[in-house]
Amino acid sequence: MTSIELRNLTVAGTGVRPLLDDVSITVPSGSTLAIIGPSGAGKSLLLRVLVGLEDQTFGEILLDGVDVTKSNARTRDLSMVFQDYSLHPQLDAFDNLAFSSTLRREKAAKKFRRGSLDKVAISDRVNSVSEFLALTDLLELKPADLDEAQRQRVALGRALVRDAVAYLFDDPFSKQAPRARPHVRSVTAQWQTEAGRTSIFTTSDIAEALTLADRVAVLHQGFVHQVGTPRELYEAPKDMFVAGFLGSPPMNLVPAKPTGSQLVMPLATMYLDDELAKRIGDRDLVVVGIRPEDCQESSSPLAATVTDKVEFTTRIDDVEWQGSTQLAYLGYETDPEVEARLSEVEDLLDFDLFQSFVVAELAAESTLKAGMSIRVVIPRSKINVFDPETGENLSLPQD
Amino acid sequence: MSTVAYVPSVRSRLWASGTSFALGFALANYGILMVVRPDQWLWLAAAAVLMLTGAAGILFADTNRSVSFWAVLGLEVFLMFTLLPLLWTFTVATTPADVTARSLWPNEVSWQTFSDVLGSGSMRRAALTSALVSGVATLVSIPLAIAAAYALVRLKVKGGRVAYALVVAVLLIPLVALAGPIADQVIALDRFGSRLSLIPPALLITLPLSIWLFVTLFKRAPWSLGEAVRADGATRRQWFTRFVVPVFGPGILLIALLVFVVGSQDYVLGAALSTTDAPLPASLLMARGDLDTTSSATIAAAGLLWAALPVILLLVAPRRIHQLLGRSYR
Repeated sequence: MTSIELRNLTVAGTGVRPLLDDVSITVPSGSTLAIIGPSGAGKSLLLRVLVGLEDQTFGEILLDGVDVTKSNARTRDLSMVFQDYSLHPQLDAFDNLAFSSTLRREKAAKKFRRGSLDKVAISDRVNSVSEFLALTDLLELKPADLDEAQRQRVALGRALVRDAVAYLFDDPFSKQAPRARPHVRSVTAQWQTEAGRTSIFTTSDIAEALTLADRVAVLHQGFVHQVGTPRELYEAPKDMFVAGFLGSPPMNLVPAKPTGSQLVMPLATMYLDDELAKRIGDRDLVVVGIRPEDCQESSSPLAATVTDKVEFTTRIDDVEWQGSTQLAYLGYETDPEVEARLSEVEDLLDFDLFQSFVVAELAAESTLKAGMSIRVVIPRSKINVFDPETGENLSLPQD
Repeated sequence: MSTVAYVPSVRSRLWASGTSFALGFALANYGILMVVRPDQWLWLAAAAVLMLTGAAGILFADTNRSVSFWAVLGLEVFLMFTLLPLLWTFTVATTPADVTARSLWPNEVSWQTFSDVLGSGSMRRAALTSALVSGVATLVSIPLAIAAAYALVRLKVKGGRVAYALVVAVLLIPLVALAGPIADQVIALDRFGSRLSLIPPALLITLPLSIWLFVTLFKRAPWSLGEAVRADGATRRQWFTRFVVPVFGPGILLIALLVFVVGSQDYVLGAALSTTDAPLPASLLMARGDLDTTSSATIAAAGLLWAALPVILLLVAPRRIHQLLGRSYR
């Protein structure tokens, strides 16, 4: 339907750091973008600027190629779900769902002297939306009589009922019960895709973003770290923050010292090929990123198929058995000087990235116990190497 | 509001039961020995209520119902202290002119005094003065207070906290302290004794009160809803009719009524600024007893009529009044 383009969108804050820092994102028509990031990243602010409630310091907003930076919310015609639901306490669920549709039709009806608004069409849409959001039996209740999850679904439905240029959702599924959540998510996505609607939603649930969106933007401290398909973000994180933020358990980020053609990590040593060695250059410290699920036990059949690999043997500190997999915690010591440098990076990012252990996600069958010794195999191609200061992923092929 | 119901301990409930039973027992004995009928029935009824409370407290002592019998006892005592004087006022007001009221319970009820009061010229004039002064003061205060409270709550103005503290301070200052100087000013302006001269000092009561009430109203208001309505594409007019009016309308109306009632109950300023021949405010008229007759029945009747206003207000919108006074009452 409509494409959305943000160009160099910046909102200055009261502190040193801007609240939104040069955000440039394009959302193609009919696609879904998820914005993820820790709380306070600027996700809600971005949506508020986009919908026209907040002013940007500079930058442009284009809807279908038309600059709407100076237009007000009414002209932009974007539908938004607010994090705090923003329901009318004096209206019942039905009237809340129909509210924004009637608001616009009222004006149009007056203009064309039709006298009344198209009530039948609106009520049809309210009914179909409330059906798939399981609100049919609640339509006559006021917001005060609904529980948190139901209120959130009314807020969600309110935005879906309306025909808008594009749709913005601010954390729209957060209060749904864990079992109902995937369902609400998928019916919403289906409704949007069928109508070919463009949507942007924010979430702090990474799995939600990865399953629902065509493309995902990682926002932190008002800065967009990476925009890409969920697969791109997961398999080729552009920087250390994206790598550490995505995935559960998150990627292990281990400090390593390049010495000659080797990379010396606390638990293992890895040979560097020429290209990677060239990119590392004369850095005296890098950070190695290993996804927990890329670790294999050496005795497992999968490990046998890996040819180009990094191997090490260590003691298991702790095991968490989770049914389908198990997590082995492998502790290590870090040089105090290196630790100081890493915690400086964490302070700057205002985010905890580094741990003093490696988490290995292993097959659930083998009986592992704390105190046992284990040999771990990691395919070398799956290992990421980051610059500790800039966060840049050095193992990605440079353009 | 916590979702877990508070359940008092068995010991606390038994103590409450014991206390209310002992109180009821004492009341019953005193009533039987010292009080003559028909008031004796009142004493016995009160004693019965207290003793039943005690019995209920023992019956429910070991259950997990979330009722506190100390609270029940407190409520009963509070009701007795407020309802009995009201009953006495009623009895005095309805006793026929040639009879002297001797018991708390009305023996003979006559509505003559009420029609006398309603027909009395001085009482009417006094009510008009009160209503006029308080009405104008309320009308002036409401827009000012809305602006002030909006600035205090929404704009985060510098020094807003100090300003709000001053407003609350004015609410707490005894009016008697200000009445003298104000009277001097009014005399200096040669306006002493006119209805008009009562209005500016009445703002002393209505303005801080309305600012205070509007601040509580605005602090609880769903402002983000206004933004959502804007994002939905409302025009300015629609924003007003679909958000401001339904969300704030009832609150504003209620505050205006409350402020009007409180303003019309004032008598300190009226006493300082009125001469005997000038139109007095109703509350002052009652306090002085300057009515056509000297009978206490008339004053009691006038008092009851005047008190009806806030009582009706409380009965009509109890929930909203509680919210405005800072309680979450559901």
